[in-house]
Amino acid sequence: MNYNRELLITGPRVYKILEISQIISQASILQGLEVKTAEFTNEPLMFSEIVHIRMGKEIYSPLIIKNKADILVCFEPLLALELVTQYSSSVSMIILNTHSILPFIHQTEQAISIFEQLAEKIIKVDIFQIAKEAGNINKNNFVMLGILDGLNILPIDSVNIIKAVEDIVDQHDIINYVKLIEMGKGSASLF
Amino acid sequence: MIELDLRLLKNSNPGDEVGISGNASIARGIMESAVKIVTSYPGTPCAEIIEHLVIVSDDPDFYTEWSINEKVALEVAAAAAMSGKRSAFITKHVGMNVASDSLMHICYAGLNAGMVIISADDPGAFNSPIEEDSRFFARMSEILGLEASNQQEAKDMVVNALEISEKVKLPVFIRLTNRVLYGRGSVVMGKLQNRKYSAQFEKDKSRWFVAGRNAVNRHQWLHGQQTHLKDIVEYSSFNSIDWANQKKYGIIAIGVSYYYAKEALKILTPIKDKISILKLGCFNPLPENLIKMFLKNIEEVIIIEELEPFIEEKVKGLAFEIDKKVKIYGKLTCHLPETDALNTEFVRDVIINLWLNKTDTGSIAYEVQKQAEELNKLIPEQDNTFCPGCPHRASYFVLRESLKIVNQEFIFTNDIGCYMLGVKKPFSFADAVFCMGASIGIGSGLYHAKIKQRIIAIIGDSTFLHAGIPALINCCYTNTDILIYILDNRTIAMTGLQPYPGIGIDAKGNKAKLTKIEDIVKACNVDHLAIIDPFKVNKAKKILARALKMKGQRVVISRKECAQVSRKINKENEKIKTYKIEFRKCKKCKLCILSIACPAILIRNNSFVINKYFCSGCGLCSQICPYGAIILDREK
Repeated sequence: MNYNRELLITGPRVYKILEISQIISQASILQGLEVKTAEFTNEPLMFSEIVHIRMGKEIYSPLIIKNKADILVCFEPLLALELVTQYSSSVSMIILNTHSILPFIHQTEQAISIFEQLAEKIIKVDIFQIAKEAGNINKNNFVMLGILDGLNILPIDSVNIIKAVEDIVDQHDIINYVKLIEMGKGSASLF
Repeated sequence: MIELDLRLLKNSNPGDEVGISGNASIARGIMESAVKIVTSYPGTPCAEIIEHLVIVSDDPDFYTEWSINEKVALEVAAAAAMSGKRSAFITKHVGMNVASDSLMHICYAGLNAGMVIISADDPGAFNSPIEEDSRFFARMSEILGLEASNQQEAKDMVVNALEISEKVKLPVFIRLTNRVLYGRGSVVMGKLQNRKYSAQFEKDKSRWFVAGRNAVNRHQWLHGQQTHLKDIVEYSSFNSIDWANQKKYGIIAIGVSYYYAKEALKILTPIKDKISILKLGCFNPLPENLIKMFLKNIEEVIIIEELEPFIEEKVKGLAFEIDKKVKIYGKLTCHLPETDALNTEFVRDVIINLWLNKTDTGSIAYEVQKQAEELNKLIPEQDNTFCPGCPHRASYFVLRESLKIVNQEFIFTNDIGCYMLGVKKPFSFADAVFCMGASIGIGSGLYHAKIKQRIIAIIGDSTFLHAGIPALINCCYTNTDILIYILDNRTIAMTGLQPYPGIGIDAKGNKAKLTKIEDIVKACNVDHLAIIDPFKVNKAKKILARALKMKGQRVVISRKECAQVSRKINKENEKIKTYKIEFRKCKKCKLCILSIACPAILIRNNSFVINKYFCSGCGLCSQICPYGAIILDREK
């Protein structure tokens, strides 16, 4: 079985994608996998954050090679456009948050139509809505983590993701975070 | 970002394997080595090291400070090591320029305890004004230079560097790059050393009085230490060789470039087993015998390092010494770039071009790429990157409004900090940006060169204290006609809201003595000083316009707390107020968007709305709207 996964996540800072990077890194180690990440802030694009996460065996570089990302998670599709065109391939999966916080709805729709030409599978999800239902709209990044887990596309067992959350977040917040992850996981069964 | 690793750093035991950032791994290395004094001036990509330490370390004997600038920071750390306490000085690459004066002198005297210098380079200038290669400082100061390739090695190097430093009585320089510091990887925790020190400064003029003939004697001593350093690097475990089956081709790589080379070879299966790799961890001095031995066994070699051809130049000389014609490829032969960050593709392509005689394909369909490029152009440039509620936005708005009153032509010299984003539309208040404090010095020079425009130098509060004061004194001394606009947001915002003397809070969050910027400005003997609140637009623009019309050295301090700091405080007190747009009153004139470009103001379904999750409640937009359509949202 091929355990190697190349995961690229991008979105404005407000989504706290570095938290997802940290949890997946720690979960990978608990799973017994090698892991490396590279974290960027892209100032010209509204302080977008970009994370390369590489996990599996024989992981050397922290950077994903262009057109080699297996999974691309885009919290704000329009801002992800350049990255997706650089890093996706015809076998990639793109997960899009459809709840844009930008004022450019038309361009966002155009961006999504381009993504559809690039990748094998596109998953569109309103993580704001799911987070709202879970009662914590500000921690919607944990919903996305749940979706990644629920889609069974990471070589990491759910138990290690939860263990990593326990390692990293404050103890009294764990129940809330696990609830968000479970909600995301539940929604993944619809895709 | 720091909170992510804190729990792992706090709760892990020796032998535990955890996934942490390079910054956290350095902090752990410092803790494991029983370093007692750590100093720095905030700068990315390494500000998080101290931020981890102040929270995680529970050693009552541990002292850390955000110093006023890097020169002072290095001096404080060096003095600790002179008196027998292990210390660390942490800086971003450009901070080494500021610290270098002291470094050159201190290395003549030597130390009595271990000291490590962490220099964070930023190839690609992702978080910096320039992408300087700081390795040259290790060569200039004749100290050991190491470069870490991943997070584990970064931690191990700190531990090892302090031991070496104590043996050779010199600081050890560790170069780290953004990809190690701002990245995560597996790190095995080591044991925390339990050392007790008693500091003692022994009077010894022959050592500590570095001047004149004595300096020559100490310089001779420093040269003598090079023999020890050369021995150390030859046997260092940070250097290693992966021999290939066939010894024809070779790669010499250092830092994260080593992993780019390994990754490239993983892909290039046809040639994978024919390329040997010499991984270096030591760059000053180089392990010359090891390199010579490597060169003797190969015919062609690619040197891979980030930024300048520091190692490549030396290796060329070593190849000459062994009297063997080895083909050396790298930056000097234009096979690799001397600028920007490297990646696996660069290394892969150079190997393919040189040794496989092929070019790589695999880019996405041209048409789709073209469509994406066209769409990229539609993302509006004017997306101002100031946060909602940022006082710098208000300060620039006030400046623009006051310039309308004055109606004169100005050149705007700007400085290093969040406020340099004023270069963007709708403000465009940065005609030049150089290094810390240069806005005032460059502005002064432009005045004395007699350019036709008048000068406005824009500088932040902490930047002013760091490097602006001598330049202001110089302006007063030389009677320069200049307006210095100090944007005082009560924090060092760009690097993560660190405290500084202007707010009287120390690195650990405790109360410290307050340094008032206005008192310093007065002491410099300026012609005019005013303080404004940029969110009181009408009053502020009149005060600023008056100062703009005057002549001589005028300082206007625009003071309001950073919105990020306020948001944190409000979060705790649950007092967040937000604004909304009354759609019946809104005439869709776009003035609110065009004049301040706040990311909280959006156009949705042809209506103007304020995103309540983004709005910080600063109220600037409500002062701008000519129709009174922006009002306080009382629902929240």
